[in-house]
Amino acid sequence: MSNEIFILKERCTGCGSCVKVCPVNCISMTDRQKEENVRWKKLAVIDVNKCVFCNACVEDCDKLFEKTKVKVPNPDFFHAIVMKKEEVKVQIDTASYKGVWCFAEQRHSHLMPTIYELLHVAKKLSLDLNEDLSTVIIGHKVTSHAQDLIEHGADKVYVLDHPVFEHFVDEVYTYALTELIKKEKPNKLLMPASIIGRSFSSRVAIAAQTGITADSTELSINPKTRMLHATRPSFGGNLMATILCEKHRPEMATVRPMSFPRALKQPGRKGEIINVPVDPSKWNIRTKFIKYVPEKDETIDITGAEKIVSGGRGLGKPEGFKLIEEFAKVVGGAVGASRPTVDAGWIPYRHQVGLTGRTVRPKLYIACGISGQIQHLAGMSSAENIIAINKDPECPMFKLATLSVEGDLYELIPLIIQEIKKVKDHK
Amino acid sequence: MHIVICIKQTPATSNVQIDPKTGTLKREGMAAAINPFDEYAIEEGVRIKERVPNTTVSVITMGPPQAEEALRDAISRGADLGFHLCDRAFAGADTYATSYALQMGIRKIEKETGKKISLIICGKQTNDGDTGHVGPGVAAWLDFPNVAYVKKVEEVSENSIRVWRMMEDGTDIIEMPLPALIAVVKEINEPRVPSLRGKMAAKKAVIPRWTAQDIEADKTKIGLGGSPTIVASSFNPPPRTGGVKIEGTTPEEKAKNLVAKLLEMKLL
Repeated sequence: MSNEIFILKERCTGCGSCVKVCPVNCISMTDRQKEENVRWKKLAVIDVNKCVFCNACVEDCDKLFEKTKVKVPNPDFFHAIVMKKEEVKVQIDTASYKGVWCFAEQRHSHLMPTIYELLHVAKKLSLDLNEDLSTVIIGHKVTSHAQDLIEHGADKVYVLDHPVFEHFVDEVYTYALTELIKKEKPNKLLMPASIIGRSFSSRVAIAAQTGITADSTELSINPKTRMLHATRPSFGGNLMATILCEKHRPEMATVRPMSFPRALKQPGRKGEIINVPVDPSKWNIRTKFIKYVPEKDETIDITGAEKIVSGGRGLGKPEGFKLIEEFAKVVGGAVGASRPTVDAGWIPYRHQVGLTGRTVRPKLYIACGISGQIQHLAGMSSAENIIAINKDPECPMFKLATLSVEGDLYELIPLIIQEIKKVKDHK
Repeated sequence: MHIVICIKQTPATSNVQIDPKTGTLKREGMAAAINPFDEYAIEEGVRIKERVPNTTVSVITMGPPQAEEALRDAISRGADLGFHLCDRAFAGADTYATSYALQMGIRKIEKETGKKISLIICGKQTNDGDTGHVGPGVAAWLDFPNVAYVKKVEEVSENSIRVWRMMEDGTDIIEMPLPALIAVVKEINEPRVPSLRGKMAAKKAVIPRWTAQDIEADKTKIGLGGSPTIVASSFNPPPRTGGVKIEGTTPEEKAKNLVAKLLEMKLL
């Protein structure tokens, strides 16, 4: 049997309420045929190929039925959606999984700041669950970071320190983390949605046979079920979806960088450091790391930047990025770009913000000459503060922006730079 | 070589529009197309075919009947064979169940064509699901090594591949023996437009449609029921408020007012 869902045509009023609650937008309204002889004009239609059988529409329609029942005895409308869902039995003793884990990403033996963000949110989850907060660090010459992680809130730090981990290789890191998960059985596991985190977290989830939510920006614990509710934006933040992993453990999630503040350091905080023995000889490692080539471009990388100044088509010419670079320099930020400028070859791809580029969440995002197409918004709409500089007051970016300035950017930006410099000199 | 490219038919991004009244996505009449990242995957597969003699490029997708169009599109861009996983039982799959079904399909492709799989290419992520998890997931199920965020294929032969991986702080150069999987980013190439010959081939191509039973899928690992994760709820975030317009009669005044406001908000 496969899952089934259908509308009881004679009970559907065509009110459209279900359309709004559907998380995957698989319900649409159509006009009824006249010969149907029904008093309602519209009818809901479900696209079963898109339906995820979440029951939201059924509950919504039933709620309307209950409400109506108070006024009208035995209404012959609402309560119009029927769903039959096939349950797959999973036998995992979820209660035996304990503790909240965070994966500490390092590059070339340096900790990436994402771990402090993870520790901030994971601390709250661990307190809500009343379970330990642990950090896993995998790398070479990384043992010295353990105390720092404890001082940022970790109760336990699992250290996997071995030359085999010197460079990030998906297979190797997957073997290591999966083995540890199987042995220690954590309840929740958070990883950064950075390139490394996004790259191997999915491999770990398959290897550990569990579910994972990608790129979440909100995390909480349901006090009744003790489950992790991971909320993630889709379609440029226009729709937020909360994802659960009901029957498998650990519940895994990657967390979008900059979504949470960093955990504060508590000097002298005590915790347990566990040096996990590493034996790569039993792993079937096929990948060979050849070398790392550092980025020549010395500008700040956009993903972890607190401030970003971005340029768009409104710059009109490649030289416009010189102005953007100068602007970014005075605010102490990174340089971003919209897709058309990257496609035109005005600036390298690594600066591209948006759907086909990278997702950023800075404190300050200054969009210069970027009209605000949804593809661009997808990459930056969750920025804390958005400043738009554009000559078109009707552009979509203005509707989103915290502050907007209408005018010619070649006129405005030099003046703004001058003004900032003036203010800084005063300080 | 035998290259398999995993693609998905997704809403064409250029058509995505937001309803100004409700703030929700307008999906009616939205055209579907190959996920933009998969276009780079197809192009890279075809380029490798042009470099390595006797290479076959197969394309696989999972999706509703209309997803066959995406496979034909891929053939018009130079792929040789298309395979379509199409069964209601696959519907509602998360990344776990999707990667499971795809890898079972890939195993079946190997069996049907009699050509051992050397390389699987995926796009970095889809533009609708946006997870980037399916590619590495497929590699995990098949126990292939994988590299994601590939921006260049430096060398490729029957037995190995050397790729450049885009990192936040530079480039990693990595070598893998084949079979292996790579997930590619936009920077890797510029996809070609379908040729006339390709379009003819696409029109004529016979695309097998496989059900869950055809690929001998474990029913507990596919579709909604086989997905460990579920969408519990979804909502439209409150629209951004604020939207303060910086006033001023001259550009100088506007610049001054903006900087004052930024200082007030402690953003400088």
